[in-house]
Amino acid sequence: MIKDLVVIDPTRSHNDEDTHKSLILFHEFGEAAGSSSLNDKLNRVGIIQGLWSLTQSFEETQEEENEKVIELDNEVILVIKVESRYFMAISINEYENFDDTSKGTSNIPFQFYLGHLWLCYKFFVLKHGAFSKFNDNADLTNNLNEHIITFWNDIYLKPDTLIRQGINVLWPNAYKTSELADLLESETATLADDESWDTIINRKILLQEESYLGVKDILIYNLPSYSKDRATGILNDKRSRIGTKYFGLVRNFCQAFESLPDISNWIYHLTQQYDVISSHVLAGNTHYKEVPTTDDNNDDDDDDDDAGGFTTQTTGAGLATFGNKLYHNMTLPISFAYDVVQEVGVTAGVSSSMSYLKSYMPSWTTSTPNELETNRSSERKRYGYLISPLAQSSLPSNYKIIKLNLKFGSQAKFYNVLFWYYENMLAIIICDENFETIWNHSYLNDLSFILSLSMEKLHNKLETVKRPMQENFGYLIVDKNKSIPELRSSIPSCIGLFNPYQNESPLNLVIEGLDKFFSIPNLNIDKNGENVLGIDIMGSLFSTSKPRETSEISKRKSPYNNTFLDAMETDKLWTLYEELLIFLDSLNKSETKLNISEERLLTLSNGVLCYIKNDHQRTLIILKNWFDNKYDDYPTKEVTLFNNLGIDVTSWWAKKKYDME
Amino acid sequence: MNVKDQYLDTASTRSFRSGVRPSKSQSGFNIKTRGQPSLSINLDNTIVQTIIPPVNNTLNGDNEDNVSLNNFPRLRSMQSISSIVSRRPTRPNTVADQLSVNTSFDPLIEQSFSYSNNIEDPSTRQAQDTAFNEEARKDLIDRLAQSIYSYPASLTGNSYGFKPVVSNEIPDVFINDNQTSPDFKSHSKNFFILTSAGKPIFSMFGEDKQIVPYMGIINTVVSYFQINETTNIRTIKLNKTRQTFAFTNKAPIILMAYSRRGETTNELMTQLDLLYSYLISSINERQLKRLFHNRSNFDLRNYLEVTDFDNLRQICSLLSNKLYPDFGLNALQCFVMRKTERARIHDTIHNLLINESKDIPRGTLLYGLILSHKRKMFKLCAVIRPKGHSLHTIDLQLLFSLITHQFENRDGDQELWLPICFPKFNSNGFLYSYIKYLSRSHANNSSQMEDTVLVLISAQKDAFYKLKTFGDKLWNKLQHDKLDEYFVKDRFKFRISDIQAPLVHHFMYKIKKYVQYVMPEIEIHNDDATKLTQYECKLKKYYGHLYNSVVDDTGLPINKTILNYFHWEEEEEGEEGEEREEGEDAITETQRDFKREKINMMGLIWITPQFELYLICNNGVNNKEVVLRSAKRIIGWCKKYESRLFIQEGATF
Repeated sequence: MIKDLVVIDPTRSHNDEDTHKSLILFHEFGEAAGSSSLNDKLNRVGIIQGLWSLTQSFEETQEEENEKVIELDNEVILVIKVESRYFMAISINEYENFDDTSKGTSNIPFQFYLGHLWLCYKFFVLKHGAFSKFNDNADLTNNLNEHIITFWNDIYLKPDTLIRQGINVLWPNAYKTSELADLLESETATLADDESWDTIINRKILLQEESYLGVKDILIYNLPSYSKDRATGILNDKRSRIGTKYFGLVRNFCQAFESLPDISNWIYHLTQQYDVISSHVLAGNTHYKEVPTTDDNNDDDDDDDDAGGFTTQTTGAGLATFGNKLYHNMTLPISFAYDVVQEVGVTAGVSSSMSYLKSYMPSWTTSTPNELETNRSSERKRYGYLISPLAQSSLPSNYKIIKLNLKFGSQAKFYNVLFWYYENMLAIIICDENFETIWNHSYLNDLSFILSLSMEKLHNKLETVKRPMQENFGYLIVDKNKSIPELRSSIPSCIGLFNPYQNESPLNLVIEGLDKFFSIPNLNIDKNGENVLGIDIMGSLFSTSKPRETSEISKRKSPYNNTFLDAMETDKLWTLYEELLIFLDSLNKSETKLNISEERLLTLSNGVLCYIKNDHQRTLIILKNWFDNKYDDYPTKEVTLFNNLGIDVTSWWAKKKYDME
Repeated sequence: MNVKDQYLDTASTRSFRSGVRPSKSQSGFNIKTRGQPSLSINLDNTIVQTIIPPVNNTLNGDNEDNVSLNNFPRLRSMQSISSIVSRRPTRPNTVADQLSVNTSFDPLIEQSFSYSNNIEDPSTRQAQDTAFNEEARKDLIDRLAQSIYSYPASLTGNSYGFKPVVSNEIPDVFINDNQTSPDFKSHSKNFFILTSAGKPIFSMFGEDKQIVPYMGIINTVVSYFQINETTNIRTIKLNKTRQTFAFTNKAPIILMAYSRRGETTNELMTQLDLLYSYLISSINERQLKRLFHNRSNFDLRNYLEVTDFDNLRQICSLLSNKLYPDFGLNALQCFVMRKTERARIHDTIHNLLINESKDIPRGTLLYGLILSHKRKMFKLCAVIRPKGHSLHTIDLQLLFSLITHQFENRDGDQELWLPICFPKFNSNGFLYSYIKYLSRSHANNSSQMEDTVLVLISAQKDAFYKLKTFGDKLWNKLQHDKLDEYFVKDRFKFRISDIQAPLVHHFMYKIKKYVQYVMPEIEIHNDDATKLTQYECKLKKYYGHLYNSVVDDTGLPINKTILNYFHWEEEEEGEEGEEREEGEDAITETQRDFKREKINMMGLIWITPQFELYLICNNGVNNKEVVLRSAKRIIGWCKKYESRLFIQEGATF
């Protein structure tokens, strides 16, 4: 568990007496919060600097080391150096215990924390600019307080965020790309006359006279959606794993967008942290808060709604189960109304009226690409802005635009960024700060319409594509050759590792600064399901609200649900992660010469064949079921380590390599 | 089988002989690298390949002709043959033509380069062809044949006069980090030992004035965490530069290891434990604490002897630069002898122990060893031990280290009576060792000496004469029964070529039950000590890499059963612009004409509850099935000869 967080700038201190000036931020988490004296804090500053100096004095190479891991008997301190002078350090004093009923206790390895420490810094720069840009130290501290502490506090309260992105987080400089574009590529070739979905965006938005150079770039993401079991309210971890390779950045349109990994990882982080992207989440007003456990499990409450599909704790303190927080976030406006009505109901003794309101509460399930076909029925797809100037004027400015510090080419500057969604596709529209047209509502509506056309085309195309079988093996490719490292992966994330019952911990979502606003009883949703507030939540929210029994999804076996990793038990998947970490760690430590590529093939006792290749161009990991002998015809007589994986892997790689190059 | 008889192709020989080698200045030839027809000989999965020089025309195809080995009398080994590939003579002096030649080529190979340096003049070439006499050619062919068609001859006792040799010219895929700079920071590995007050005791590299400030910082860091956080610092890891600092606080002693060789935390901690154990073996823990009890500022250097520092240095050297698997595998190597022979020796010892109980009363002898000592490596010949008890391998390794140093410059037969603390046995007390050199002989065809050493260990301070008497009687008895012959000379030492495991270059096989391992003899031509060290370093890196890939930071394998293959391959892009390694001479014109063989190495680590196998193949192997087959053959061979390779019981009492 994270113990404390320190940010220091040693250059601020010039002698022994003003050491305290170098301390920019010191925060302790949990029970120990606030227990350290100034002397303790300064000691921590001193030891971080001392260790850095000691290790640096041994560095012979010109290459400056920017991260250090200090392992103590029962604690790990992770230190990174950013902008050549700032140190950020977190210490982890005890590890999170996973499901200890099954196989004892396990730990989250520090590599996941280290990856998030880097992400934390990158997200800060994305939102506020570099540390060194702050002339006023107090201003920097305030912003750090606002950003970094909430970032880690959310992780402290929901530590499985650390591992939900899987091992992708070990490459914080890379971003995950979706392979939807690859899937469509062949189709595009055959239908050359037809205007493709990306051409629509390019021609009708980016190259339009009205928005030319004003709209700098549009990023299209396909994001996972985490469904939960209706009976238990617990996330269905296996189901949400399906189609991992298609999640991520589908495409962007500007070649020299250097902040692409940072903004992408930010979106992925928000998805993993809060399960879904909503206006509140993007605006940064959604955070976890610890509430007293005594308010949980109010079983006496008779407001449970069977038709709603989950149990809602109706205590005044808020939600009880971890699973419900997501629901709460999404339906916050309704929830407030719900609370109001409930209070009235309790007061008036008419508790049964609650069920009527609950019937209107939306719920959602996954809508991964495989299900697009099944969802294609006449239902109207959900789309709209999450962050746009269309938001009600009374909302704070960060609901209208989000200013992000982005780097196109060499110079970083702030851009206005809008967020729009279409089902589970997220579009990020990056506009120049001087591009005033975005404040024009009709332009935004037109933009939304064009985007919806494009997305509809994309969805339609996906439905027509004769989808190839999902490979029956997992893979991860980190393409280091590109100026901006890319990551492709079909290895599912490790969701649901924590004991589900642990999620009954007193977690709650609080919406900061909006209480007042939501007290206004203007929470109507119009007949199209659009929120007049201008705030929204991603996902095929209303489309799956019909009873599951009638849904085609349940009847149809997903063509993607055949990767053995998707069906693997979570604890087994986690064991695999741990083993992969060891291999990757030793690979990173490997002293091999630069022009030598290293391949490894491991046969593990749990039935997984693991192939790793590392060279200066890319890192490739392939996980295959040892017992799957369907494709074990070797393509050549020479059984190299790679050929040994079978003809399915070799033919897949031949195509993939071609696609990547 | 004679390769010459089987694979020679006289027609091709003629074409080669009649060929005119192009000079770099000849503009009439337009020769491209890929255009060279190549020589290819396929011998039991071994591809030996080289290039035939062009014959009066422009060559563009990828023709491959089988040509006789007779054409290449100056080529010394499989690797060397496959190493030599003609380069583009039309583009001299360009960066792209900066070739590096395998540094491990032996002088004869270098001669081959100087030979081809004069290729402009056919008469010179012919003269030098003659200079490479038949003997050299025959030697090459013999060795080639032997390396490929080997058989388990040595262990059947028929190896005298037959010395199959497999080339040790495996490429180094790892960064060369051997520094000779006086600056201690330039070394990729270092050890520091200091007191809790920050006073230096020992450092592997660095003079006092250099290291004293660092000792202060190390002490501060360790003390900070102990006082403020009530915990101990274990490691500092720097991921990008692969540096690791490992700390061990054994108050009043602090130890730190520095490494940028990618070793695991556990590996470094074990090494620090060994160094600390050495200190304890010299001064036991109780004494050490007493020394520092009221004088925390005590300078331990004044208490230790010169030999202690020498021994520490030697242990550090073994840990850092030598292939000394005893430490890494935590196992001991055994002297190979027949089961019946070893049983006779053990019976003799056992009987003597019973018969001479008057001279050596029960309880006097705790432990006894007969060791073979060659090139600072010890092999167990026989063990005398109480039933159900054995000494920890670290204790034995410390003993070996002590013996090595004590007898380094010995003159004639000597015996020693040494108090040693075996830290893993009892860190607070001493045991007493009677050590006697029994015999000395030259190793086969080598200047290396093989010694036989008797070690008898007792807990009694005054047991010297008892043990000496017993030792003398034992030696006399062994000589009388002619049992000494079994371990005076290493008759059954084996090479990799003695095992029918094609394409395997070297291996280590550890049997967990006996905590013993076995590996083939390490040999290089001419017994060149420098090259031997380089070669050992190379092997050490390979094995270290194999091992580190499957253990976590606590040193435990990730699984009970592991089968892990490795493949290192040189990337195409890196071939021409490859950086030359430090210390290599400037490339000659001849070297510019040749291309180093492409790196294509394979390794394997196989761990089961019963055994551990670490294996490295020859360069050019990339067939997994062949490697697995060879690995299985090695395991089968080791199992077959288990009773010869390992001491299974010893003389127990």
